[in-house]
Amino acid sequence: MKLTVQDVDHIAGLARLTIAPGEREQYVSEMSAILSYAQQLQTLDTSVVEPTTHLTEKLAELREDAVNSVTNEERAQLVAAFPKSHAGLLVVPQVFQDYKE
Amino acid sequence: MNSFATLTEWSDALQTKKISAVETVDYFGERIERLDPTLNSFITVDRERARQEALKIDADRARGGIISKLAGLPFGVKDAIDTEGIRSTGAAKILDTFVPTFDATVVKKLRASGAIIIGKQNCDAFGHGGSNENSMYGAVKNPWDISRVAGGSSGGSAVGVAADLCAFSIGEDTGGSVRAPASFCGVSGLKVSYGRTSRYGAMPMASSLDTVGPFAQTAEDLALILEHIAGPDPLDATSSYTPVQKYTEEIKKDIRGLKIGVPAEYFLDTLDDAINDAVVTALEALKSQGAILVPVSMPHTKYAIAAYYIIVPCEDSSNLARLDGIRYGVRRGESEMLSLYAQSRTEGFPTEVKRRIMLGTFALSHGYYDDYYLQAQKVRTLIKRDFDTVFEKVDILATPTAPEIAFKLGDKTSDPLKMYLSDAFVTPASLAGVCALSVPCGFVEGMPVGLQLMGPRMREELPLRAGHHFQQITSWHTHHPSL
Repeated sequence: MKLTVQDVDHIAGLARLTIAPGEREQYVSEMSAILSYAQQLQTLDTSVVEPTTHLTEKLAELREDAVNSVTNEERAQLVAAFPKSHAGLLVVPQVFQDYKE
Repeated sequence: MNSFATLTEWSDALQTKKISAVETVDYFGERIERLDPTLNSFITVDRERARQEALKIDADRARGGIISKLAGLPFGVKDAIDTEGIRSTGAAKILDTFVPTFDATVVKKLRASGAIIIGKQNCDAFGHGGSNENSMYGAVKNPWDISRVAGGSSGGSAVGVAADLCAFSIGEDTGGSVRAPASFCGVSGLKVSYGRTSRYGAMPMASSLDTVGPFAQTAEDLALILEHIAGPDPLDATSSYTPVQKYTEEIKKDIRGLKIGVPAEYFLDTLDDAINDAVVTALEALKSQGAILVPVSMPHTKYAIAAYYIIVPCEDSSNLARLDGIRYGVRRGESEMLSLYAQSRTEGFPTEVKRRIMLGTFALSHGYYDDYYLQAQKVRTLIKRDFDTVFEKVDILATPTAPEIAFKLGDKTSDPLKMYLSDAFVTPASLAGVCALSVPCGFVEGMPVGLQLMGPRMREELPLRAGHHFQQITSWHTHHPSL
């Protein structure tokens, strides 16, 4: 599997990453080498094999679908752990650029 | 206390009041202060906080209120595991300022038993790596030779025990991250069965493989820790209800008649002769105690790395989507949402994390999903069946933990595939979700070699028993680096 510089740019966009122009070739060669190595998986006949998606024999019992209470102190700690806040509210950049009052 | 005392020795000294918890914290705190500027095994140390907790433990004990064997014992926690009120970075700058509001369940259980966090340990960022060179806080050095890697990803946690900087450590093993550094640093480390301990509060890497497990001086110490941390957790739906064993008693049972499978695929001609010899000698020692060695075959072993390095990046890429500069830690760029995501992630993740996110994003993308992710999960089924089949015939499996000794810092950083191939012996157990222990079994070129003992799911007592008996008749675990 040989990726291209365009592939790397496309994947980076999907993954919300920016790959600097000088680093693109490195990602191309390293990712291509790993994907080529992984192609040996194709040599196994798995036509009658089910995929393993999890290893849990029995899921933990679900709790009642009820809201757990949060103390004011916990709330304050959670807000403090957020990158930016104002007067106890969480601050994020504007999402809808063209919104008009 | 003598240096490099076992957890059991520390615990006895504390319980009989030969030493106080404050003195214990001071002992390790002073060693960290003296040795860790060189080893770099801790990212955050909070000696004062640890001392305050120790004062409380000593006061409780004086009143006769302490019964836990772990009370007063200082431990280190991998920085990719959340600790309430103590910064938890995952060794990535995107979480440089992140202070969790809760403890991971395993940490919570240990603290409830009176164990004391002495600090947060360096690791490959979010567990991505086998050498501990992928930390944004610098590489961890191997205490046996500081020009060599500690192994990863829980390298700081292995060094914490190997250099006697804490009584025990809590690490995380997704594809060898406890076992590989335990092998490279000459300590005992346990990868628990998937679901044996709660994953709650462990920063998610590959959710279908992640496990939280301990490092200590001996298998007996690991058994004691496991008794305190195992069990179901309402906050982790994949945690198991299988009853927790009294591991410290189980390990004392005889190993006469214990069937130890020796899989040919882990002892190929390409294996380093000296490592082969160390492991074969270890197997003979177990045989001398009455264990029965059984040659077995696990034909899909050679596909484990390929399956692992597709499945894990896929799960990584979706798990790490939550780190976007919005919700936790460090935010970069304020102007617009998409550029904020990209800038926060690009600056906050090291290269290996980005490479895995990119690989996973690709392997899950339209047109490639069936060929890569789905096929890897089917191969995972075949690898799991190898284990199911072999455990019908034998009680445990014995192999080398790693195909090599700790390599030189920088040796593999320019070739990620070469780095991944170092994990050949540890990834199969992870894909199958079985338990696996690494104990020291010799030295090559002055560096420790690890013996891996794998057991069926939820049967930790079996490899721990073999490891404990091995440590009764050998002294490899009592060798320590001169620091």
